[in-house]
Amino acid sequence: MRTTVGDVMTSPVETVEPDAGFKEIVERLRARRISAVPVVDATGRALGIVSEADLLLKEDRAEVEGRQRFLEGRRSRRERVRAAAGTAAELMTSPAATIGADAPVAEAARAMRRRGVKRLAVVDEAGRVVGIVSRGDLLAVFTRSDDEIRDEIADEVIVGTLLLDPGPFEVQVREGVVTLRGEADRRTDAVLVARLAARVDGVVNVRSELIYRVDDGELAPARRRVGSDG
Amino acid sequence: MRSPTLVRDVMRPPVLTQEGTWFRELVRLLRDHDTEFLTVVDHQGRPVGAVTEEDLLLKLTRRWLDEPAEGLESAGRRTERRKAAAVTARELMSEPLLTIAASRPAAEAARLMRERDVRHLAVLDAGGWPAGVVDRSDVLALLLRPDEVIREDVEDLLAHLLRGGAASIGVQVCDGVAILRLARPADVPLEDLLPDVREVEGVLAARVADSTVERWRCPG
Repeated sequence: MRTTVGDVMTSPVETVEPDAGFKEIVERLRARRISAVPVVDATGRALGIVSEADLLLKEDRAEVEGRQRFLEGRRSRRERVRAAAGTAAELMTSPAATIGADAPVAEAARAMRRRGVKRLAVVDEAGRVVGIVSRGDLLAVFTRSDDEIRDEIADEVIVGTLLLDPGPFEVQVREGVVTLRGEADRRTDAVLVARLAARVDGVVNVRSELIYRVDDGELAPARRRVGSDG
Repeated sequence: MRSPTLVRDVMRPPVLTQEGTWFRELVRLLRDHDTEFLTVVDHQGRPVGAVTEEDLLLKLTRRWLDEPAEGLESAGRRTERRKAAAVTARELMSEPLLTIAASRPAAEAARLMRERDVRHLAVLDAGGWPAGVVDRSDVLALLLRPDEVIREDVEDLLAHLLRGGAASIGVQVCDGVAILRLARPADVPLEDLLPDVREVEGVLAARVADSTVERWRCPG
């Protein structure tokens, strides 16, 4: 089983229009106890995300902007005052960091890291926002029960994927930490069981005490940057 | 002048954990306390480090079993690899702990977070014990003060800076933007006052009124 973004995202989601003002955004974030909100156009497509970090940056920008604004005289005063405090469109990080609902959580975690953001807008095929997923949401995969993890390793990894006889393997899971014991036929089997167990959702670490009867050589190191590494 | 908001006024209670706490329990603590930041204490209760949501997330972003070092590995990469394989708070935590005293102004906490590019600070009491935690959103609350309250603070500030001269300055605050103007002819360099005005809590921007004909009311 692969936990997907759709399984852990928050939906429906609070959004703001591009012309929402600074204080309105701050108040909405606080009222909903959230730390960011997608900015959407009239059709619901994500234009960007405005977060607490964007709002705090604003404090630094205020001085420079205040000076620029002082020099330009043509815009209406109302526009100027509003711009000095900032609208969602001016404050947001754009384009929005997005992901599809069917992506695995590990992919979402890597996307956040690459973009240096704390959450992603979850979008459908048309780019419309259907939810938001935060780092905390992704960590929910680690609340999976030990029994579920154990069953997946025993049934799906050892039997289903590696086509091994489950008899010799003892799988113990405590607080997401997997301990493997027993005697495998071949060294590569022992290595593969541990390596694939490490990729099961919710696994915190794998301690392998597996031994083997036949040393059939060394497995190539796991390839890096494949789609589903973990 | 009004005394500044202090760290202790905006901080939240700390969520403490021991060095030996396991990963999954750390995830539960974050969720149950709706926080991103755990203060790790030793057996005496002294703060020794911090575990953040970001640290825990490394488990998902990096392969952690049997991953060989990639040639010459930077210290940062090595730390990440270690954290990704971690089971206990001790293996996960960042040291040293970045802290601020509860008695310091909240604005200083905001500055420190920006300078060090962190989202949280552990707050310590006078004895060095954990007293709380501040994050960016706690500091954002400072920006939500009503315009009228901000205006009074700006006027107090000007009175303090200029003594008698302040009476010649008109102050207007609209949506957090402070605007200064000369209410009557006087030899006061308004531009020079702006940096101080920007330091007033809740002021998002400060400028001098474009001209004396600018209307004396907030728009909208």
